Amino acid sequence: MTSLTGTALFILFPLLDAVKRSFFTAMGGRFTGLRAYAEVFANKAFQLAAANTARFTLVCIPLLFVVSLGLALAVFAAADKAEIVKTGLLIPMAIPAASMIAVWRLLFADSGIINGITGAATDWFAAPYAFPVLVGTYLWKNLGYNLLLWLAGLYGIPAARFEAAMIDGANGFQRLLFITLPSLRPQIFTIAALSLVNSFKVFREAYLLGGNYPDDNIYLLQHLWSHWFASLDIDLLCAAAAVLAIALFAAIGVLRVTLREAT
Amino acid sequence: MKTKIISTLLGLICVPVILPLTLLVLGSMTGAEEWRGILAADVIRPILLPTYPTLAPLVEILMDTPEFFHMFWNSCRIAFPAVAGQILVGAPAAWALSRMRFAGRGAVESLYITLMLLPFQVTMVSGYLMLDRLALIDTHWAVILPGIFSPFAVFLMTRGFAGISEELIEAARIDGAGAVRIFISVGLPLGLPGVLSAAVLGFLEHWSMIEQPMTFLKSPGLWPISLFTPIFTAESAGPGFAAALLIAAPPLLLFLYGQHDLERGIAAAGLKE
Amino acid sequence: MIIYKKLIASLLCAATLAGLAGCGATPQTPQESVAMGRYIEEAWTTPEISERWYLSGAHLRPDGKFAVVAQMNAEPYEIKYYTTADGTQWAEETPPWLSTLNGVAGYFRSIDFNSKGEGLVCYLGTKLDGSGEELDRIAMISADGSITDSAIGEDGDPWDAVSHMGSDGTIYAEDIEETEDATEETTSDTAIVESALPEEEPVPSIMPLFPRDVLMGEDGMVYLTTQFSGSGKFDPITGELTASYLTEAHSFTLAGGEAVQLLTMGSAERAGHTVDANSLFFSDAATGMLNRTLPSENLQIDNGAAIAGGEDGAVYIANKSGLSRVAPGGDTWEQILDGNMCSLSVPSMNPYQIFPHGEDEFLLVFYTDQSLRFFNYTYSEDTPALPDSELTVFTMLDNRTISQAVGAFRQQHPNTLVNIRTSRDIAEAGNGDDVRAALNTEILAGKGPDVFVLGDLPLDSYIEKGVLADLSDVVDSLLETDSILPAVTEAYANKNGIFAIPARVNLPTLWGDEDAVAAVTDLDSLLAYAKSHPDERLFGNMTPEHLLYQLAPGTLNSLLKDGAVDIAAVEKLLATVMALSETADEPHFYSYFGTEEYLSQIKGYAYTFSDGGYVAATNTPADPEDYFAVANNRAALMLQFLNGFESVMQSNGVINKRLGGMTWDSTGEGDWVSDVPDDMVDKVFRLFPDSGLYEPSCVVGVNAASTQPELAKAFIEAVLSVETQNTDLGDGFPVNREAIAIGADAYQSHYTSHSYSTATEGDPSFPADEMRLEYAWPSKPMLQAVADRLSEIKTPMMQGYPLPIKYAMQECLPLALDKIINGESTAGEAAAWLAGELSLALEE
Repeated sequence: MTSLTGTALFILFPLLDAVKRSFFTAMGGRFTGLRAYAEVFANKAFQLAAANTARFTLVCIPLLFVVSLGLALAVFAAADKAEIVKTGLLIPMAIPAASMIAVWRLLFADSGIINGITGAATDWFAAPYAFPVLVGTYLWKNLGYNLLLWLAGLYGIPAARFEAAMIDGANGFQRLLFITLPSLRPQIFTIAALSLVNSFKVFREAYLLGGNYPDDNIYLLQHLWSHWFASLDIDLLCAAAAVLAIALFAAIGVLRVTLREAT
Repeated sequence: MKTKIISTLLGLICVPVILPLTLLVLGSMTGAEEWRGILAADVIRPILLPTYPTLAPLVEILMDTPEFFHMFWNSCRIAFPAVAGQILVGAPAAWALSRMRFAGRGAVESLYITLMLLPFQVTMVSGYLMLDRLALIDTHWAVILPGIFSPFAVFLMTRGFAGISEELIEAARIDGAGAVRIFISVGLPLGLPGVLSAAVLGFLEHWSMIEQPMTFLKSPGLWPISLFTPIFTAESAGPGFAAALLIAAPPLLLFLYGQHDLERGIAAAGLKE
Repeated sequence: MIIYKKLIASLLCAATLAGLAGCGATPQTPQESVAMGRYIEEAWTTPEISERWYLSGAHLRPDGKFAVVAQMNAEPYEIKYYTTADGTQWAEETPPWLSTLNGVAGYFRSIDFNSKGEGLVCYLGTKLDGSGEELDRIAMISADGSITDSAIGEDGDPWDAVSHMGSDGTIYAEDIEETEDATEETTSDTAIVESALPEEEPVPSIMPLFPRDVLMGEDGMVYLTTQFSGSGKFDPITGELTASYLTEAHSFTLAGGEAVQLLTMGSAERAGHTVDANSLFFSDAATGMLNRTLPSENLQIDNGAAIAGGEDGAVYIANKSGLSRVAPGGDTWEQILDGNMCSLSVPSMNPYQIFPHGEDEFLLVFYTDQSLRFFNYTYSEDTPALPDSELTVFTMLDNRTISQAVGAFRQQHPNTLVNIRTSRDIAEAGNGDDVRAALNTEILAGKGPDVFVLGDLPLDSYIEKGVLADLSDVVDSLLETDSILPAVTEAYANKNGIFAIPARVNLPTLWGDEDAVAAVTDLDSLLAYAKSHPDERLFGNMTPEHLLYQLAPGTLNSLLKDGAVDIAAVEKLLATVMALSETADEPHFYSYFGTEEYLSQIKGYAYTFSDGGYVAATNTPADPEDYFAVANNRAALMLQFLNGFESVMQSNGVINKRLGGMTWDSTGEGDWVSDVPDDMVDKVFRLFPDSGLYEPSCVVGVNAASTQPELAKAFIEAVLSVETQNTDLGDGFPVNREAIAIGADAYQSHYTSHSYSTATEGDPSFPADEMRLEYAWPSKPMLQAVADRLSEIKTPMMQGYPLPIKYAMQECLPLALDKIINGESTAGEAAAWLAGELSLALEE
């Protein structure tokens, strides 16, 4: 109980401070009311970043879902033979982004390995490749962990259910649809939330590879945050963060309801 | 037969996933001479298999760069206590959260998730103020303390505890166990996968944290290894890769170490029905 | 499987921990002094000497007095001797050996005494009786003051005859085959064995050239360190080399029976170890065998370091970071005096010698301003180790003017420690973004440094958000006395006040043919001139990339208008560059400068614009091709960013060669001069492309949230004071009027030459006489002309540029040009592309 309050305090206090800052000038001088919010919404950079981030999230998460679920089903079916696969796919998550940066550069540079194989001199960080490359990085990192989570869910399904279904004459696909997926429902929310959190973490790769002003397609909200922070536009930053918080809160709420999560 | 096909396919998928790591390993075994050749070529060749594999870059990092170890040790000093703290503080909180059946519980959880997604810059300033008042700036506690109260760990553990069925708890209560006892003997063992996940992921996060140490730690003697940024020229590429490999080693090993326990825990929980 | 994984994991963990434990043996970084008590610095006077005399040969006498030699740098090269007991008064002495020496010495080098009163003096001249050739010689002074020749210094460099040292310290000459040690691994020291050939006669020893350092040992031996040949111990009676020490080291001292040397540059190999610079080498004094080394990575040896051995066998080193000590036989450094609290950290002060004496006192000899200065340091137990107040100054990179200002500030505020923080203190490998984020966190929390040096920092945001304090009161008092250029006070001012002041200024200038200089006032007229003089070559290097590099900085102000990119202006810049480059058939006048070899040399230079923090990186390297072309009358114009009066030498020398070359001025002693005729000085250069444009450097401001605003403002005043501004540190002209006047009136005996003799064999386009530039100090009228321009400046470069825009412009301008060169776009399209790239940054 105490720990709950402790946690809450440490987290809520900065949040409230941030909200407060959104109503004042950057150095805390004058009260400016909703001016910061108005500026944020009118700001074209914000609009671009928000659109990009939304697009990225809406593409990545379902993609990750499908791919990792597919892999999980395959691994589940292959059982013991796929031990090494689990480990292998898990490795990318364990490596800090900074460690990988040199390797990414070698792979994607203008005269890098990939260009060497394809023979073309594609600029992988410019449109139209930047976005897919970023999505690829995200998938690479997160497949393994999601795989484990799905597997956890799959292992949790009692064999009895499958047997019952087979007796009823259901084929593989129907079993998948009506037994597997619904049984995995508790997992879905967790995985969705985690995938969402991790999708925001992809900024580190985007920054390390694309610099401060990457291609317009992968200019994310975090780029904007760090630029606003660098120019001390903290009021804009906090206002935008508050807006984002509300939007996310609503979105997650919707997700809950859709999945009919127990409250 | 079907399983064979599937596992082969899976194996194939593994290759591009592991490839970057192998490049890292190979790169750290390549000497400066070869690096010069590689980088000077028009196109970098696909497999960086060194013609003359050498442990020299690794040795250079291990032997000739004392600050590497110093920073490595600092990272350990930060990450382990932070993770321990996260579990100690977060587990009870997560337990409470998962057991409570009040109306807004879902909202609270959503709040946690939202908080995880907010820009860190926002919380850094007030964090700095708080830590400064506690006179903790320029000590390792400045990084450890905020880490202990991370919402990420709490979220993971809550999820882990949420799956435990009510009946078991009821049974324990009937047997006369108090709230704390229930937590320790029923909640923790069954929620172990969640706790372990939180621990492992929390470690990774603290191991690769950059902004917080940079802002809160002023003396270079306190810096963790995540702030070690090698510059990549032909001469320093080998050691740079070796350093990157060494930096990646602990989280990697932890993941591998914990993976099986994790799975076993999950399987055990699955058999509960 | 699982077990294996766990096993491997545990093994690796154990290995890591073992490695960590192992690293405990490595030497540690200097630790802060924790004791109460502090060394107090006391400035000593110097003996009064007339012009044409200079001081050298400072040494400590056995009677406790401190002595220094003064010598003339012209005929008759007389030597005088002064002593002092406490640095307040100097007495001229004439010991018996002085007059003998005066008879034969052409040039005095150094002198030293041991505690018994025996000494030596090193000089360039004949033997004491007047016989023999003029060579570097050593003469011995006995306790009674008489002087005799030593046997050291005839013909034959002892190091020539030496092939290697045996493992027991014996010295082997060349023609003796070394049997036992030859096959041994070089883990054993090589030693020099006395040659067995010419038996009774000692190995003839020649005086090595350019003796740097001499030390009179307690054992009566002479310890000599030379510039090129090495370092060794000589017997003055026989002249033999009896022990040889590390050759590459530059400083030498004795401590506790060991010879201690400091290696400051490059690396050295000894006994199989290769050790890099900034290490101390300890060898056995008797045999020369290497005992151990002590790496000292954190020592900054920029302005040299001095080492000395104490009576207890400890080793002391004085360098930029302060005074440090190694205990006898120890392997760690202990900092006993922080450089920031004394003159050691001041860039213009170079520690030259250090003499521990008395009870815990040190005398430091500094080389500064072409002369010596003396400071004595006494330990005061009652003074607290750290001063009561501390002022924090933040600068992204090391800034020499700021370090210099610390010295001036300390005169007025001796009890304040100035703590200079750089980006290195926040992040190792400079990622500026992370550093700025960390700094901003502090600022937003209401903390942060007291004083900012605003290079590479978001200056415009700081002003907008009120981070910087109003400096109007400081400025007003300075303007009242007309102490500084008014223009710099307007650079970063708005209706709310004055928030930052550039303490240094660089001038973008155009030099060359007087008609061309008269006609070319901006980009448009440059292009017009090129068109109307199709046969005349404008610059030496007419490649578009080079032209953009030269012309862009001056036009930056016009490229940004009302918070958006002025596409038309960008287009004009790019189009002008392309048009100009097309007017030359050969882009390079001297083909050497287009070769791979040369281009690979300059490949590392970044395309950056100065941002007010440190030495301008703009126009670096000064492309010598333009200079050579103009000097040899092949091209009409060249551009240079002048960053101080000394930098005028270069362009002045170029014009001088163009107009006829160096002449011999026979007034007084006579000297080569490279003057530009007085009536021409104003015609051969101008500020380009705008007569009021300047590049700000070392921009300083005060944190509005500082808890010590008075002290902070006092520091600003120190930065702008004549003491600080009067030193030419290569980071810009002074803005202090008095300093400008002094600078324009100064004279330094300088001769420099610049040539590419080896690079252009067989290149007919670069003949030998053309590839050499020689120049001397500019004439006073020339310097005055530059000073006049200085007082006409008005607008700073990149005024109103947000930091991200600066970086983006830096990055995108060359890329835009590339597009045109590749034929991908026209100038207009490239300009539009640039605007598109920058639009996002401008939106934020």
